[in-house]
Amino acid sequence: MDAFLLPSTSLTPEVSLNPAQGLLILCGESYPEHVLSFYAPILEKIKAVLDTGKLALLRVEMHITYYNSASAKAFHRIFQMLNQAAEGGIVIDLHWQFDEEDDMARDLGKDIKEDFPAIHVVEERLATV
Amino acid sequence: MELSLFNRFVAQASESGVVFYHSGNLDEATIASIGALLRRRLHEEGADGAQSRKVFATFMEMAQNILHYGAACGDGRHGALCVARTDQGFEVMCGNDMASDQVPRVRKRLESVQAMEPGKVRQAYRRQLASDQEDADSKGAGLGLLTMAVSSRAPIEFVFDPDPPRQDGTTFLFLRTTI
Repeated sequence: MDAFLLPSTSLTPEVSLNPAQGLLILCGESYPEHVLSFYAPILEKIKAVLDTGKLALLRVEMHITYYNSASAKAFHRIFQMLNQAAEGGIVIDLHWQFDEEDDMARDLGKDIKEDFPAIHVVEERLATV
Repeated sequence: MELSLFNRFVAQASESGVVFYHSGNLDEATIASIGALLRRRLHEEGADGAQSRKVFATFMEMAQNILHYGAACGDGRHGALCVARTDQGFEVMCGNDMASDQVPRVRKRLESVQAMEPGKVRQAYRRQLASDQEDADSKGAGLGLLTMAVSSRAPIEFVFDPDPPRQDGTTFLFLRTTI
């Protein structure tokens, strides 16, 4: 399966999925007007990679500096999918990165830990530049 | 507009602590550019990082509410958005026309969020996020209002104008949150 790269825009994050490296990166801001149509193809691609049966470990790096409520819903679906894959035996390492002043992203990281226990969440607090 | 009137307008905005005000049609491109401008203004105002993020997040949820629920105006959705300085922080306000027949539904939702104890708002946010029940009329799964409430130090205030709303047509809705 080919690697997939979507460059960031002012309203959408960079999305990079590399099946060979077992790496998924979401980085940037997320507040497109039509959140579902932005994330639906990304969810499909992630699902396809998880379903190949060839993956032992997926490292996920997320650093979302701002996300709107509809994006939070889309992330929830991604985490549901990752949690399911983790229950199925794939190791999921989620590196949840947030700026030190970002209370909302920090709290979301805690929620992910509680709500998706099969995912191995690593919270990474970044110093604000 | 008479210059004397404009003078008064500027003075009143300044006295009221207005940091940012936009009134007009909203679309995705407009929201992106006023968002960038708002961040710069908040930085100039010396807002700390946590405050600035909360103001921005609230402002964006309000803008997207107008996009989704505001009454159509020509090709777009018309609304007013305002951020003002207060002694303790900021307040974020919005106003837009909405379909009068939606007022009872929106009022019920606003009242239920308003009545929540501060500690319960975040729980409600998490429940809503996890819930798969999509409200047919709500494009943001009702999360937008809860996102604003999570960031607000005081319960969200709202006013419908006129109230009670006219039977048909549109009603103006104002919201205010405190950061």
